[in-house]
Amino acid sequence: MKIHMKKTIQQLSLCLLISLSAINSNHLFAEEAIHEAPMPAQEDRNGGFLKLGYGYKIEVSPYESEVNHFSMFLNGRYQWHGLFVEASYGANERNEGLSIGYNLYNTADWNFDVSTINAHGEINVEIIDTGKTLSQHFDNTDMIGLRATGNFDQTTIQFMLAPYAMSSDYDDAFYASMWLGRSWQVKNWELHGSIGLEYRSQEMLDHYYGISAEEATEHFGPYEADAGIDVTAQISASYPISANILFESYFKYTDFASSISNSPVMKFAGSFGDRAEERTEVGVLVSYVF
Amino acid sequence: MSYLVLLIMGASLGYAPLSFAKEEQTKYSLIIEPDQCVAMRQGQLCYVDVKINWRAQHLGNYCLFSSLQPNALRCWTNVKSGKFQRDMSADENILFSLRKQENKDDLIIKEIEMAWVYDKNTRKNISWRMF
Repeated sequence: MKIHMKKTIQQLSLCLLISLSAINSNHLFAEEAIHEAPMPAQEDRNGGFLKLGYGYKIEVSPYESEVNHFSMFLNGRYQWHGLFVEASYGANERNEGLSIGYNLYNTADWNFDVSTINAHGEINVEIIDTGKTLSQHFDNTDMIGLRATGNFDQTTIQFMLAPYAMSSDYDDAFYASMWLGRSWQVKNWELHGSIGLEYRSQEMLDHYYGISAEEATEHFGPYEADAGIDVTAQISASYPISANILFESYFKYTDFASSISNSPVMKFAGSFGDRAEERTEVGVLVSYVF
Repeated sequence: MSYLVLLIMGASLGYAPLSFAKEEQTKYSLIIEPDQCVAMRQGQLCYVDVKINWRAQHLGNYCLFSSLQPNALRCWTNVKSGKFQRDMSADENILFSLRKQENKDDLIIKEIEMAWVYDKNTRKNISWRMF
């Protein structure tokens, strides 16, 4: 039997698990500041950063064989008169590749954007089961949605609702996420923790993980996936070696929605020796910040 | 003619103190390690283990000062060199100076520069986190 599954990105961003009272009190305080300082104009928000990293990464998931090697990491964002492009490839809970968007509106603490999101990566399944082949090949689902990001001192909270699929061969895709992140300074170290919830509609998950009666084989029977929520948690530690060079390490864990984990194909893939039912990722790297 | 004389006098008056200050500086050495403290973000406190070595040409009573506090960090009696070490934190450059105990004038000044990876004003632009 041969299984080849590939998932470019499955997580996006998030937020939750917060002390609402703490957020609200900070927010009220910040609102007072709005009256004192004028909001930056759109052109004042021009700019960004680019971070290139190289380090060692170990990743175990049901989607592909264990990754255990040196790897490049890239993270960046640039905004110009409201238009922005973001790139996240590894070493970040938002390992979602490239997205573009427009910064619609800002308050002292919140940024409101319309943005693209890779709501699900591609999947390729090829299983030969007692003479019958289960063959599934699904492209990415790229979507567009509204995103709100709040910054409150050391806390970042983000919500995204993406109801429009830009490229999908199925209907009613819907993606939503909530992320909460908090950083702490310990001497010159920065510790960061975050947790994210990602919701995917029944139509989306059934498209990727469902097995129709026609496709079903002896050991991979018909399966209809329900909507589900992935939960991702990450902790990281960063240390500035110089004004441009960072040492970073991180640990990330994703608990997939039960409708994904219960899929016959995912159960089978997760039982392989070099895979697991959930995703665990650890990395240590040195980054250059431009 | 009188204009020319005034110009020469002015230049001369301006030059003399500079020359004096330079001579004073060469009589003393003040070595600060490290010369830079790097924080993750602009405006954060930067923590640094400061090591200072100073040397003077003549024996005397000297005191070491920093811009972080009005009082001397340490004073020495009848010496011409000294060492000092302390953990410090600051969000702006730290100036160190050596003075005679009985005098408020700085004999020599050096500084630790504050640096950071991410500018303060970029944070609000960043959709999620910058690292």
